[in-house]
Amino acid sequence: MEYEKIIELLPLYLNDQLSVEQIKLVRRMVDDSQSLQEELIFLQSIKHSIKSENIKSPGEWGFMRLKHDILAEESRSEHITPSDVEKNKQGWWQKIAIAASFAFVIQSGYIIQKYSIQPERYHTLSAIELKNAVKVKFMAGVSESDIRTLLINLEGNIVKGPSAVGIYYIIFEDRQSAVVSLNTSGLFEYAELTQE
Amino acid sequence: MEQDDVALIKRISDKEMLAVEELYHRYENIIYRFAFKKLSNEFDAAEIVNTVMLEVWNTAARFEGRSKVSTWLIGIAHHRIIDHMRKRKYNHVNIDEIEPAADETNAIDMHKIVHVAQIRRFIDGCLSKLSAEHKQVMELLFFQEATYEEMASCMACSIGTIKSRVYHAKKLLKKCLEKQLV
Repeated sequence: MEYEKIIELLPLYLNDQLSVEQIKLVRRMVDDSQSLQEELIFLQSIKHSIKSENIKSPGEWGFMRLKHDILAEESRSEHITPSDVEKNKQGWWQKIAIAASFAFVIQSGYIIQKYSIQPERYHTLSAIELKNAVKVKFMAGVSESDIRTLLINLEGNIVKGPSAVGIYYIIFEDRQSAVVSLNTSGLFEYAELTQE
Repeated sequence: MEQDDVALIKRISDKEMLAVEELYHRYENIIYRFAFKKLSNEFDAAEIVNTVMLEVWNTAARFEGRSKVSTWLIGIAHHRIIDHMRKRKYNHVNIDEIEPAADETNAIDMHKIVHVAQIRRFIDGCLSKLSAEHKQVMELLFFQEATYEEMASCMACSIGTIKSRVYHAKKLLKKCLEKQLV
């Protein structure tokens, strides 16, 4: 087998993705070639470095946001207003829409119950009064893990954002105190109450 | 594991929240790392994770099992990253169109590189200097342990392109390490 083909196989060899025959071939070629041995050491070092890299993902916080967004989507997809019915001239659509708008009232409670593990902390987007939220923008360079920790400690729930300019809306039980905490944390460009 | 993943996707297509939670915890770190390598921004990478999982929630019924679930997820992430970069007007340079610099074709003293105990100390710094695309292929290859075929499927390009990116990424790393060891 060509040398370059073995070079291509070496990462797969390290990842234990080769067949038994391929493994035997690679081992034989590596044993006979100092340059292949050096290439293998080099790749092992890269792999070790990448595997050891500490990159913190959103974790539970990210799932909380996902759950919220799923709930909001499910609620939106069930909702058809009576005005939509009047705008539409097709009879069959009217009957379905009327049925759906009554069904929404019954189902929205079911959806919240079905999808929420902590119902007291989650709301459908349609149920949230954005005017009762806190509007924030994070400082540049702040780590998401720091923000996550702070918001979990303050029991804040992100209900909207980020916008294209990085603005979020967050709901707190006590938004007045939350604004003070956020502004003194050093993590935010600003945190302000939305208009009541 | 793959059978478990496929079963999870089926449960998600039935709108089971516990299933999406399990899938999220299984793959959020991988998707986040992949996005972060490209975007170098924690918030944007987190946004991609959320977008990918929402798309899974909405399209799970369409998953046909022609690829591994992990390949499917990274593929979605790849496309959402491109959309995100367009929206945010990221400056994107197609590295596949850039000819390797003339000095990259010079012989590299691998003997010197690998027989120095401090190689691992310098590799982190050299990895950080790679382009986003090179970081992504190295991430997929060595963290995700994807095959060339899976990587090509994820990143919607040919196997030849993937192998070329891996080749050039290694070459750039070697050049960087050589400079560190002077």
